[in-house]
Amino acid sequence: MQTAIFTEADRAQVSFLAPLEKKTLIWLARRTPAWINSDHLTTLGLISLLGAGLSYWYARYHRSGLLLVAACLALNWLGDSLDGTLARVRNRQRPRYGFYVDHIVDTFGVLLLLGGLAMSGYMRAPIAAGLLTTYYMLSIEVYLATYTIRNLPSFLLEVQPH
Amino acid sequence: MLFYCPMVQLAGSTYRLYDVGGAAGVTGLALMLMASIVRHTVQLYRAERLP
Repeated sequence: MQTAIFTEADRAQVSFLAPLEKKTLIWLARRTPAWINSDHLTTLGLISLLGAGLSYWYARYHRSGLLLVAACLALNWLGDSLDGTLARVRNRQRPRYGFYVDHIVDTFGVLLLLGGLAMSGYMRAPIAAGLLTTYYMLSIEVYLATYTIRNLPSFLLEVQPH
Repeated sequence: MLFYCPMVQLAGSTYRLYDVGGAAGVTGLALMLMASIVRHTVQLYRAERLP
């Protein structure tokens, strides 16, 4: 396989909670048992979104499904956010693999979550479909911008893609 | 909120809370998409001008 140099795109963490989240994730990563690696956490993130989607569907028949959704989303945050931090804390980064898998997992995760929401009766299916479509279009825009803008000479970079 | 009251009153009509949230989400994402497309198209057009 060709191993061309891979340059990671800059991350823009603009949420006011981002610094607190970062500290929390580093704290958690340093206390994560050695037998747990970032692949386990990525898998947890995807499975928890499947759980969230199924819980939304279950909420159609019983409101307690909504509580399960909240629990699954908390697990998703743990898995999806901690996998990269764990890799960085342990100096086990895989930039290309991580970038690719993270976004593919997000792609399926959003489908599972919004699919469940569409079947929950709490949101009409056309609105869930509209959200999914717009999210995918925005994702395509971000990926194309990341590819094209990052490959421009640096003096042309007035604004980083985000 | 959703657990106890999944419906909201808006301009005299009743809607599902998540329909309102979802519509707001679509609007916000669509605006971000359009702004991002315009910004990056202009940026790339200026970077690669026709001779």
